[in-house]
Amino acid sequence: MQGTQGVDESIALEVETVSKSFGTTHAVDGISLRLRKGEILGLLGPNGSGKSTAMKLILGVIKPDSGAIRVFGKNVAREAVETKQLVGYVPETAQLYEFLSGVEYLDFVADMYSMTSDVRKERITQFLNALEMVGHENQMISGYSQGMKQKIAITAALMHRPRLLILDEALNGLDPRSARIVKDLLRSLAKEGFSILFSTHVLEIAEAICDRVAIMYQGRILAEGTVPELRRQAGLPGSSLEEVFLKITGTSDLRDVVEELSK
Amino acid sequence: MNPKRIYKIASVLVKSQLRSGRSGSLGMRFFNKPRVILLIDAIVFAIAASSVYGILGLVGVMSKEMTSLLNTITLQALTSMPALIPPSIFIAAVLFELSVSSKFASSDVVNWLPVSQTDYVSASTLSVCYMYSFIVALGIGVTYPLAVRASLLPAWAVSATLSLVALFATGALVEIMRAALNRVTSAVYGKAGRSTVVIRVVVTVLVILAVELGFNPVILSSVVGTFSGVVSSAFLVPFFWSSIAVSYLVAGQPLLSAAFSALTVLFTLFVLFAAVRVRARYWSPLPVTIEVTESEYSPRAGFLQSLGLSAVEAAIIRKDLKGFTRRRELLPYIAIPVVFVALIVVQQFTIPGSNSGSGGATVYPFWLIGGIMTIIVATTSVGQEGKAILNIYAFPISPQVFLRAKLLVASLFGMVTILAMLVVSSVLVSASVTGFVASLLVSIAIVAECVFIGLGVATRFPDLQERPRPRFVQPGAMILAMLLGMLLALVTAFPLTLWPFMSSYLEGVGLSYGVAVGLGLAFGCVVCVIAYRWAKSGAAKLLNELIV
Repeated sequence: MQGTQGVDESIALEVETVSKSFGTTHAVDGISLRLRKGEILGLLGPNGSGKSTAMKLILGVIKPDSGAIRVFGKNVAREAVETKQLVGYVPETAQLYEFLSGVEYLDFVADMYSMTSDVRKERITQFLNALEMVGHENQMISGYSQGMKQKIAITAALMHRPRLLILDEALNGLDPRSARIVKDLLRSLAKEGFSILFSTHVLEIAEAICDRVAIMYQGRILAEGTVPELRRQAGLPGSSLEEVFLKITGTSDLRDVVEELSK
Repeated sequence: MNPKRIYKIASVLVKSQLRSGRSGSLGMRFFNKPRVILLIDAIVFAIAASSVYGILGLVGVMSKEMTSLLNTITLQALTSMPALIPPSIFIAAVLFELSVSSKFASSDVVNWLPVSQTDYVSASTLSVCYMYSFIVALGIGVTYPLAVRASLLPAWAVSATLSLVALFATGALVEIMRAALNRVTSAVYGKAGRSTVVIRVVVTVLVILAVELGFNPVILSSVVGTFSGVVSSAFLVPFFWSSIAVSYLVAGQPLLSAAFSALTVLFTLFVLFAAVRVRARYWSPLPVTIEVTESEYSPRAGFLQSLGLSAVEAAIIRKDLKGFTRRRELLPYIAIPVVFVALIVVQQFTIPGSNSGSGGATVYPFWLIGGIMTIIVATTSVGQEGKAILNIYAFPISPQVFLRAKLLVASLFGMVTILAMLVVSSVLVSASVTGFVASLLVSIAIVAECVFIGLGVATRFPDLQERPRPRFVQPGAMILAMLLGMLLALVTAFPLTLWPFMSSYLEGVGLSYGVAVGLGLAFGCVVCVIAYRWAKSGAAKLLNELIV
């Protein structure tokens, strides 16, 4: 699957021993990842484990101290604008222009990706209908609930059909119906060949939609593989992903904490 | 009313206001206790009093005429002080209130805490008094040595006390104004269409204009000045009762003085009562939802793209322009030029002889005002993105495209402002066509200089923090940019400004109108080239890595 310039087209994302520190804090400490075309990779980890930083590094909005990141063979540091054209991103907290209406924001995003009038109208209408935003689309975003903002952020990331999707806790705040639609959409997009990097705290979601899972803790990737592979690595065959996660991150001994809190 | 609770809430509100525009642990620690404000007031009083005392000491023994003049000034100051405090504070408070982002303006917390509206409004009034008490401290500090010298100490005591009462009345008035703004905002709730946004902008600008003109200290001082010593029909205006009380005391009528003092206190209580009622009625528990249009979404290429701009540039420009009309904290940017033009026009028709002068000399200050407004818009243009700047980092946008879009927005704003001021001033001074064209060319150069310098600062020193009072740019950088912009505007406009005065001499040495404009433009071009390169490297540095 070599491309015209010797690039392996089957590899959507390559992260090679990337590190990033903020002062004395090692937010990301020498991580390596590989995401294939049409694959959903779940990035799991407790709060502050470095997932969001890793995603921002991959997107190119922050620069690594060391290591290299390539998206479809393009070096993120050197070809920032070209890479971003291929990527869709939903941040941990939707950062939208709150003085615009939902549809104005989406129109703004469509301009950023040079989408044609016909395509943008069709996609925006599709998403607004699917995520039950019809009737709210002309209201200023400042009046939206957190879930509605998240729906707009998801639409903005998906509507230009990016080849690589980076979703940082994308299902946060969504109602069950919309969450289900987004999950099914992600699976459908993966089948069509889109690649998805997905971070979440909700292990059931990761288990349900991810092809492979990487567990991050204190800036490092502790384990990576399919869920059965991770069970084997943890020595917990037949157990839930939650138990595997707690064992790998060394945070499984929770009895004392619970007892202390219930006093 | 629960005084302890009122004090507690007032303390929290003051902390919130003092800290809202600050960062860093020093500022936080310093303003940890609002009581520090009383210390600041005492220092302001001491400095003001000792400065005036020192000046009087330097002057030494005065002639009879000078003593008489000083007594008249002291009397005017004592009678004016309590009447001028409300407008001075109110103008500042309106601008403060409008600079608070609507995101932070809702009063959610008081809706679920067990606090009565009377307690909350009283506490909020007290917090306004805390915030602006330094103005009263300054006033009573300046007038104290004067009153001692003029043997008007009893009048000073009454004036100082009534000034404090006036401070409370102003605090309550600010509460009424907050309720009025809530009313304006909620009036558009549920209504749709672009007219809603336009009405909101127009009404807000009109509110600012009315406050700035109606409470303008210069205009009011001329009114108050007409009855120092002699009571006129001013007794019809409650805000002047305090001045009348001081006047009666000086005139040797203590009973009437006491009556008007009592009326002043009663009026303050009435304003406080009204504030509680009005705030209760127009309480705004939730941010309102505004529907900007009712029409179905239909993508359009738009006017900007027909001018040759790329889709990305046009989209950023459209977004920023919408921000000016929809973001409460940006509305003063539209209102301030309108207020300046209105003040100039009002002054022109109310102060005799103020339309003397011709050509560039008279319009010169308008260049400065236009330049300052352009600098403010340009320096804040990056910070206005707030945390949503993450979008700019995530989208496939080059720094050059981003810079060009910001540049066009600031230029457009600057040109409209300076052009409006130029047209008004040219009409007022009956400028010649040549003078107008020359001024216009120099104005374009000044706007361009200010835009490039402003963007250089904006890209290097943005403040993207979302606070109740967003700053958009680091304050020190803003001050430097304004000083630099004003200096360059002065230099650029200098040959043209000089021309009307020196034309008869300069024509002899070959300096014509055209040469004067040419010199300004040449200087402007050099500044623009240097400043553009600086802004370009600033944009590249900014978008290299996310700074939030």
